[in-house]
Amino acid sequence: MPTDLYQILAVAKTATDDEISKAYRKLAKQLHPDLNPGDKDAEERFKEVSAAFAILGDKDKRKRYDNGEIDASGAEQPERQFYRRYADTDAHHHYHSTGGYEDFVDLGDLFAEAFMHGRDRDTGGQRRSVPFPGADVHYHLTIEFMEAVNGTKKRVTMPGDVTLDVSIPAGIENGQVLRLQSKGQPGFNGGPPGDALVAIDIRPHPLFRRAGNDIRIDLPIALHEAVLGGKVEVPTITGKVSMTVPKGATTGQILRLRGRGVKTAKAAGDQLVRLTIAMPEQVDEELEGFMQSWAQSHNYNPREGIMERAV
Amino acid sequence: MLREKEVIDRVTGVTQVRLRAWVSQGWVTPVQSENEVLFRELDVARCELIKEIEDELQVESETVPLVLSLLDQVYGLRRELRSVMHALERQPDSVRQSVLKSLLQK
Repeated sequence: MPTDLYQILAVAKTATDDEISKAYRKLAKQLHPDLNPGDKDAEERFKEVSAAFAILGDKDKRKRYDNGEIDASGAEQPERQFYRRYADTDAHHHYHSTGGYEDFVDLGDLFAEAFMHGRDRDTGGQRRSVPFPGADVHYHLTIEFMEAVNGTKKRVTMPGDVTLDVSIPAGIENGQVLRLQSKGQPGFNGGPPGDALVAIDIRPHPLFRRAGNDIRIDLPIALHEAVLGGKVEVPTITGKVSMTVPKGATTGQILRLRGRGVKTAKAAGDQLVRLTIAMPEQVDEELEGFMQSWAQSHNYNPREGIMERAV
Repeated sequence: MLREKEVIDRVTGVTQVRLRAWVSQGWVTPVQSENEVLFRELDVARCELIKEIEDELQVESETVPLVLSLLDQVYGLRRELRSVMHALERQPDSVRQSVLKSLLQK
């Protein structure tokens, strides 16, 4: 044990009273035995530190210490009982809070119940035989795109042989969580059971994409359909419908089929059809000849101004 | 058990007003007897601690309940941990070994 009290508080011999107090407070906060239950070393150091401060923190005693009139041993303090001694041995746990592991219930009923029953036996502890809801249980459920947009009922067997009837509302979003009340773990002390929380994963569809309640789809049209316009059949999430392609339709153009999107309890979306012009598999002589003569008299430039915009 | 006056005499720096404030805020919970409150040794040691937290460590009184709450949780958890350890102690060696193995795997 260093006998230089200044060293113990880690201050210079020339330190002001204020600096000494500050140094002491800083160390005391770190080392106070009641804030470090079970740390023997902290207790020893705290004793040294407070003994040093008992002298250096007192103007008169500090002067006498500096003059060599008293030595470090004059700082020995009477034995005192720290709170932790009582707090750790108190049979009735008056101040103990056992709220700190309410979330342990997911570790298994066996131990959870051991802790809960332990509470019942306490006479002074803080939360005795409080009815305690069971834990929520989390599941994942993957459903098809069509099931998500149109809604469905599913009976599924989850890990742990739990059978759940899950009612999927039309228009459920990917990642949305359904809460099935009282389908979780049983409660304690007459508390209600927890809920089952089912997170929904939606498998993507090869044709349809979701954008909120709207459905998007790319629809190829033939060259002559683009030029002349006409009726084409389009798949929607509720079956095929007939749609009119306007004369002179072009790639990227979006046609709206109103009310053909996702219908939820609150709202209905549209289907947005994006046209793409598909060339015939082979360009034959007839088409080539026609285009050559057409281009000679009808040249147009769809890239006009694009170079300027590329800056 | 100690009466209010005895606590004030023993814990230097604690006045009646201060002690009653601690009790009314629930920082200290003495026993209510017929016509007065009585303090256990535990309560007295807790008063000593609160005094030190406030006066020597200069923790603001708004922060004191936070410190106490965390401490109560620490001591509560220490107690539960100890009871788990005692329960393990009483198990056959094979059980203790497999628990130990499982702990080390983590």
